[in-house]
Amino acid sequence: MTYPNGKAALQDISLRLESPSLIGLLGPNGAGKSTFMKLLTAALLPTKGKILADGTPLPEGEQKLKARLGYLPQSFGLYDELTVWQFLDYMAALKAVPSSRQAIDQVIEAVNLTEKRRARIRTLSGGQRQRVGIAQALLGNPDFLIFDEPTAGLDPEERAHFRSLFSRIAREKLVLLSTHIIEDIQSVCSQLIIISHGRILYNGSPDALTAAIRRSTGAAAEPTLEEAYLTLMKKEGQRP
Amino acid sequence: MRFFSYLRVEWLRLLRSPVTWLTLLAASLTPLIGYGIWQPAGTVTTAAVVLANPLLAGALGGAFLFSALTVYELNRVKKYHMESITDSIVPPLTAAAVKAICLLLAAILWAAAVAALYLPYTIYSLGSSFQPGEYLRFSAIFLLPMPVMAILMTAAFWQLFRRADLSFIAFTAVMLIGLGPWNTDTYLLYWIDLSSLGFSGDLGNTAIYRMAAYSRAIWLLWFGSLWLFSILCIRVHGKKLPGSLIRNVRKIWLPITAAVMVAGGAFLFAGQPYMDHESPLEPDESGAVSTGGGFTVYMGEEKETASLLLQQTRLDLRFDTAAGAVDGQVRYQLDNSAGKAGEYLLQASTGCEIRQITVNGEPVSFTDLDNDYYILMKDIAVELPEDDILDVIIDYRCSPQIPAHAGALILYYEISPEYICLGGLHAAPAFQEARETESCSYTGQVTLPTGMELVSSGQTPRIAQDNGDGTTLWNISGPGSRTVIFAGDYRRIRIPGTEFPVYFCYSRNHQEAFEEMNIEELLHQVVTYCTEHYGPLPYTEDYPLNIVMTSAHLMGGGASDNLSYMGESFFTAENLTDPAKGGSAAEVIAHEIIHQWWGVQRMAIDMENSDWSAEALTCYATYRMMKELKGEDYARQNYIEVWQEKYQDMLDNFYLRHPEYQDVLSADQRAALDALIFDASTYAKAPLQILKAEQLAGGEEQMDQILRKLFQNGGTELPPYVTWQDFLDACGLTEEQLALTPEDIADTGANPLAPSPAQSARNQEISAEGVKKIEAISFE
Repeated sequence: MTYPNGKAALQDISLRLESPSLIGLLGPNGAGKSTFMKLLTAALLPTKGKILADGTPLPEGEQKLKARLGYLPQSFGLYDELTVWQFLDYMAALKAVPSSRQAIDQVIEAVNLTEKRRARIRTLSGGQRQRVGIAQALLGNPDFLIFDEPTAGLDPEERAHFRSLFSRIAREKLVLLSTHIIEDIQSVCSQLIIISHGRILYNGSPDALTAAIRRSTGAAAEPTLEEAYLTLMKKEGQRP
Repeated sequence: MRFFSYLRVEWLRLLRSPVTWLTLLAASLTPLIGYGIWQPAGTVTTAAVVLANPLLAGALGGAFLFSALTVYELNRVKKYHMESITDSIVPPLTAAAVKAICLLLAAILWAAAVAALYLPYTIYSLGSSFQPGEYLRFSAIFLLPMPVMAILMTAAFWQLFRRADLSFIAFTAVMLIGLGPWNTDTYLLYWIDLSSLGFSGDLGNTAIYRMAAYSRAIWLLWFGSLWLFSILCIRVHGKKLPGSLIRNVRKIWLPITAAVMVAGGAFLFAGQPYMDHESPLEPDESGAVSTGGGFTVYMGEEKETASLLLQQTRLDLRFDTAAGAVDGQVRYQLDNSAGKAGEYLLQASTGCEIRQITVNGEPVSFTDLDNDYYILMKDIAVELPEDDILDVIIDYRCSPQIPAHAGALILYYEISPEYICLGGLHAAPAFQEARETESCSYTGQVTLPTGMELVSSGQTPRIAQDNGDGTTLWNISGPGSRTVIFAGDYRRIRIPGTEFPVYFCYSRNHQEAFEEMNIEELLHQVVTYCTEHYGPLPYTEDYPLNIVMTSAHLMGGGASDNLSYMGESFFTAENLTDPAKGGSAAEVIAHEIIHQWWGVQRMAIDMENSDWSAEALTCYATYRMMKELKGEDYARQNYIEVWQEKYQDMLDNFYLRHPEYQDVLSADQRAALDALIFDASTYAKAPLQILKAEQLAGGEEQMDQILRKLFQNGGTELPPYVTWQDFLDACGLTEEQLALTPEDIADTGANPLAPSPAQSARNQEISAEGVKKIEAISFE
């Protein structure tokens, strides 16, 4: 994917994402994580190559994909004048979610906003707004979930809660999750993709990464995922 | 199916928004402005005041408010940075289309609600004149399309600019163009259509609705295509405008539909049938030509043509009121006294299409010269054989047009299911060189929709038969070769107590109102006054005087043969009974009826004195009547002083006082100057001269005797009925004695800047020079 200004955001990307799984997308700022996610939602189109969703290339299969997609972008806004419930009701209607009342209650509970259901969105804190964003992505029980930095602004307890939530969802769905915080993915991801400067540095399981780094460095003990990531970045001449 | 579920979601969301309801409420109040603050349809009829103006104000207010709502709704996603989320659920193009459809639906429902909301008061105000069909049509053609066009336009601008401020500014700019008075000659650019045609309350407005609907069809096509094009410009897949356009144009049906709509609108625009846009030709030395806008007559060399004497005319008119046209056949029996073959000119209206011409049973060739040498007239060149007797049959179809250069939209003639006004060359083409014999007369048949009452000059029309197909056949006849026709839902009543038959024909819708205001009494007064002072008119039961109420579309009034007609605006209760207006409407009615005594051919000017016409004595007689009815002070204030002021204004005109500057005037400005001179001379100078003659002749009683004799002498062969010389001779005066002096046109003191008598005298000399220069130009 090359932008009109000539900047190559992504190069030589060849991946297969299979359901069910929780896939973590890791990389420094400007690595191309958000661009990658936008390509998967057809918000951007690749300048070269193709993206197939269930065998159908995008953007021809865009409609079909969006019907099964839940997406939380990195940067987003909400309708401030609505209450949490009203907003999710609107989003549920947009997604044509059946039994929407029940579905809304479920996602509100899932993101721990039950006590704030009648609060106007403009009165919520940053973390609470983030949770509303996650909730709208969960509406409709989509098969493919893309979360771009979903835990930004959340406190550690909430992050742990959402780690558990994403992990539960990923038992039956395909969840793609990008983050800066290694802790969010290290114990739950089945597949880890590390991107830097628009290229994939690593694609595999977290355990395989740590084992490979240990072998390459000759370390006595298995490094943590964070240590393995930093070592990989250093090897590539990058600073995390 | 997904599209309709999106539609339902957005519709419910729109209805739940407080901003939507605030907009609807505010828009619903805007018609109130039309009751007094902004009255684009004028105030000539009650229907204009209580029906047209409020709904026009509502239309304009609704347009602005719905435009604001459109900007708000479309900008909302961008304002709250929701695009990244909503675009992942609903494709941007679909979202844009759905939002626009919901707004359009809201506008349609709003228009219906507003029409219902203001209906009770409209019914109450109009009383028996209220016509549900008129209200519905006006709402559908004027009220509804405005917010619809505003939404399409604003949405298009937003999708192009993606900025709320620019979108609203662009919308406002386009609206101002449509409101602009600088487009008087191009009614299609009046897409907001501030009707300057005068809104009829009694005789229908189909002619206006046709033009307005035609205009709206064009603009809806164009705004619709603009909107479709802007849909193509919606940013998708992170691309900018050019990239998005290239991407979206793959939905090929969108650009194709937009192109078809643009082309359709252009086709309609170019082919508009209602206005004659041709410029009248410049004067030609070789022919007799008159300019439009002014009243200058150009006399050129006479062509050497064989003379034609018109013996008899047969007219067959079949009105196609739904199409606004008449299919006609006119048959002329002509003596070709010179016995020469050659090319002759038929004069026809610009809306006339000649289908066939036969002479003595044989088709002849003809050429539509399309030369538009006068307002709404053109020549058809016809080859006539050398036979002594010519039986000429002309088949044609005519749709009356509006002149584009008259400075305002004027419906001189119209054909609609509710009302017909047609006459002269617009009813049938006629040979320019044909001269009527003394015994010349016309007969004919007119086919009208059943229910329309026919009023025409000449003998009283009679129903020949009901055709059984929704039309009725009428027989008409009269002297001469031309007729003037009015038709509508008329009620015809005889004015009681007059020495000769006088009928008043008016819209049935006005019956109750007329009975309340006793209009018959006014008409009786006028006829009785003139009969007592001058003598009875030579009308009979079969050939009576008809006073006809005409549509408000044609301002003012007129007279033709045994018809005196005036617009319905003069018959409103407000105009007839408002003391602040000085009963001016009643005086106009009186004036037009008085024409019957002093000549109905108002434009027939005495060739020896171009200031003198049928208007001179008519104006004077009206003044005398009003003096008798309303008193001397009233008559002085509303007649004498008005004449003096009008004439003085002409004398004070810069270009008449400085004729050396007249060369810089454009053709239109010269025409306006011509009109000023004509108006002041005809309607002010001439009656002032009669007033002076009255004083010199020994007073009002003496003048009455003079006028009675003049009237009963039977007039002259050529119009005006009483020539200038006739008048001088009857008074025993000379032209020099009736020359107006500064004392005759002395200012009453109302204008502190008025020139002194000496200056007025000098101005009069200079202006006379200026007038001569104008006339010199005119007669070149």
